[in-house]
Amino acid sequence: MTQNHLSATASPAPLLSVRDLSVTFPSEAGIVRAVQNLSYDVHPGEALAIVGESGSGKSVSSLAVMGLLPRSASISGAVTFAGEDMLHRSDRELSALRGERISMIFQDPLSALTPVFTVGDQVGEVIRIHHPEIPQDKVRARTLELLEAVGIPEPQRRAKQYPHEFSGGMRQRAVIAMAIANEPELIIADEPTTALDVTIQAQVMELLKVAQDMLSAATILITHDLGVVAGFADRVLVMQNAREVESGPVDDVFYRPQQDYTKRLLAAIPRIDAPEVPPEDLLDEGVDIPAPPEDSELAAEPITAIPVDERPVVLEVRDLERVYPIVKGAVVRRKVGEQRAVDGLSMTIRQGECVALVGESGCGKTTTLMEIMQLRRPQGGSIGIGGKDTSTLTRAERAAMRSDVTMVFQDPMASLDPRMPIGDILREPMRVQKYTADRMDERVDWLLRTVGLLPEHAMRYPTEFSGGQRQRIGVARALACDPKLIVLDEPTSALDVTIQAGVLTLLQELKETLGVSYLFVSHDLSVVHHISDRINVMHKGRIVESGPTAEVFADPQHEYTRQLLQAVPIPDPEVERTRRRVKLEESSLAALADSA
Amino acid sequence: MTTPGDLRGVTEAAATAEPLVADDPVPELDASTEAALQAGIDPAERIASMSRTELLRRRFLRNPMAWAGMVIFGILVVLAIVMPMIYPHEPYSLDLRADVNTPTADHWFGLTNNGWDTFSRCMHGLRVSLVIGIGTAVLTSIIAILVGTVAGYVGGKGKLGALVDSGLVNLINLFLVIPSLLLLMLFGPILQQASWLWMIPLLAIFSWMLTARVLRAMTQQLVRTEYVEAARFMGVNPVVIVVRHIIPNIASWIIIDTTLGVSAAVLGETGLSFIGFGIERPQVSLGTVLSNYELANPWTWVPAAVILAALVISINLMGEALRDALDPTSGSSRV
Repeated sequence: MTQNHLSATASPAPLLSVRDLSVTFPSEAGIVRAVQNLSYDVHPGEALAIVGESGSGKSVSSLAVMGLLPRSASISGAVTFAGEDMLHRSDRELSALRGERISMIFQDPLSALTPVFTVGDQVGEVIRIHHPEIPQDKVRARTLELLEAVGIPEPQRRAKQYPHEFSGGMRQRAVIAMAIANEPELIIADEPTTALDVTIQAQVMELLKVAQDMLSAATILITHDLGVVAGFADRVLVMQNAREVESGPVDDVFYRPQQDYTKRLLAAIPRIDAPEVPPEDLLDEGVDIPAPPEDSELAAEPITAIPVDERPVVLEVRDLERVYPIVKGAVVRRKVGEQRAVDGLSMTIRQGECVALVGESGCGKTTTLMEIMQLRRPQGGSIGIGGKDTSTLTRAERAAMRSDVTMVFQDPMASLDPRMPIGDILREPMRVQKYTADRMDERVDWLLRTVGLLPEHAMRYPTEFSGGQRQRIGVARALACDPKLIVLDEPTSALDVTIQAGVLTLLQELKETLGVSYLFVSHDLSVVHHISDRINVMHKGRIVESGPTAEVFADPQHEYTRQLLQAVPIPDPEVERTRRRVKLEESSLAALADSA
Repeated sequence: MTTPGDLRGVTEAAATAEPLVADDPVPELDASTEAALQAGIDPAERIASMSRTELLRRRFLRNPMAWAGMVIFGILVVLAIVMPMIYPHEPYSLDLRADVNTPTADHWFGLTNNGWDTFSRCMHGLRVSLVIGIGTAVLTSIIAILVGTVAGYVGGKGKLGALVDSGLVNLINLFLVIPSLLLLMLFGPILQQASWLWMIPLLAIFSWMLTARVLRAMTQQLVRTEYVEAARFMGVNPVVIVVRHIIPNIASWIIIDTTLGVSAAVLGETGLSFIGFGIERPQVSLGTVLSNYELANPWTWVPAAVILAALVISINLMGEALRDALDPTSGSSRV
């Protein structure tokens, strides 16, 4: 694909040409300029990546190309696809193009598929709409070919299943099958892997790459993560605040970035290939953590002085088990099997330590967290917090312990009550522990300053803050009552890469200055790389590998750990091109291209 | 970033959260953020930050239907309060000196054949219908909130919770299958003997079920959100969780339902009164005025019918406008 690195004048006519595109929306707060004066070309067979943070206008620009913007949007500029104007066409004319010559892959594969039709029907529908002349049985055969081509095992059986019976990665595969069904000339993929685990992300990106090569279709990949772009794109366009910041061939952007913003975007990506470089805090929101209130038990000095092995144990989990029965039958329910969500898990966290629990969705991470957070007798095994077994707690002891173990949730949008001001959100745990009003006020001030916000912010509501700020508020709430252990449930996976770096830096600083302990749960090894002291890799309810972070990264023992490490994208085009992670059946895609 | 389901919400998102505003499209990660923080100006302030209530108010007032509803309803309420105080005739007083039945300067809407003043009856009836309508709607919502949130909250909490939940659901179903009209006709006249206000609980007890079911479903959804989970992990008391986290988040729906419930209750009460099982002497309601119609003398029934229609339509207009204002997909978010 490298021939397309040539400048636009030397290459043949571009497939898609966007000139001076501007999109504005009317809103309560005035006119919102979502895209301003954006221009780019996509040549046949070329892969263009549009990179930017949430709200930078990258999605809106591609929706404008597809004619999918709401009617209230006003669009100016010119969009030509294969020599024809796109902006002044009727919806009916555009519909003939969409799915046939241009196709789109959306972020959330669950909402991109209709829950009431089988996956096979939905893939077949794309063919039938544009080619009503093709007989039923041919459509069905083609559907199965497509499903097989995108790596869905047992396509015969799978085609008859509904979207909810598919895993996230499988769904995205089905969506890709729909996108390539009519061999489009242009595929627009809008954050196709953001909702997926790292391992699945790697597979889906690989699949997209193979599909693009086989169909020689042009691709526009929209993402907030420069990391996933490296091995995929021929050219990169970086957007910020509705405008283009920088564009050029992928090697130029990665190795010789011209703009500060691009450099900062690159610096924000956690690198597993360069352990000495921590992800850089793009926002520069790093704050000096003010001294805690006098009555606080948080302090680092006495802790960091003691070697890790001699510090008091904060969390001790022994042979934890959680088994869910699988029941069938509506009237007479009988147990037909069991799901061993957590199967004999043991781990220890000492004070001031960050222990990571890494594994993909469905491996039992969340179940483990819930068992710990319940503070009750687990189904099997034992959980000890601060030396006390949770199964022996009285009601009052359990209530008091709620302040020792706190949690930061994954989604900063969902974990703060939208109807409560920040101050009240922070006071809530203190109110449970019956703090006095003065003490609460003092604490709220300190907490807000600690996480880099202003005490005046206490009056505001969560919707007035950005995603990164909300996650900081979530961290502040977890800190409120001098916790012994903070459980972090994928605290950065819902955030943009740039904001993720800021939150990670904050967590690191808190750990160093206040001596709090973390149980950091993540599906992404690169995220926990710089913050964790020890790593536990979890797979199918068991810990398959555990050890100090540096050792696990340097010399992974278990096959699964190696897979996880391989899946992490490396923001280096040269390296990425040589890493072929998933061997897809290229022959099946080739057969597909022939049969069409 | 954009899923198909989100498309319709693009303007919405832009209005509330997106940090991109004309002329100053600088989100919070600008280099000047630090300086702004020092100066005590939050970056969000530059977006003319707007609370939900403010947004709701603006959308509501942009709707001409909302204005029409509020004006009509306002006029009716003022009439119902003021008119009975200044109008010389009482609903059941007989004016023996009047020589014609038709509307005159003395009897604005004329008289019935047995000498009752129609205007006075309409105004007193409007008063009673309003009190019963609003009272019933509020009481209905209170019962529905109690049953709905309790059932929704305890449903997922262990075996006992499931038992309570299914008990409450069965109670809802029981009330749904009871022939409510027959019971209303049975108890209406009996309770009237004590006080006409008994109509309020009587109507409420047969109209809370569907609201409760919806609230139960909404609560079930909210219980699974992370902020409710967070509160549980902090050890917050379940009652406090419901009051502090769940009810405020379903309040907007409750307000709409209560508003629309007023017109339903008014219609229910007038219906009952019309067939003679509702409000009885010495009180009048719009229904009893209508039931004393004289077909040949339109002034005996047209005013009451018009007032009733105006009341119900104005309430519905306000309710619909409120719903549009709360629902981003409805189109009132378009500026």
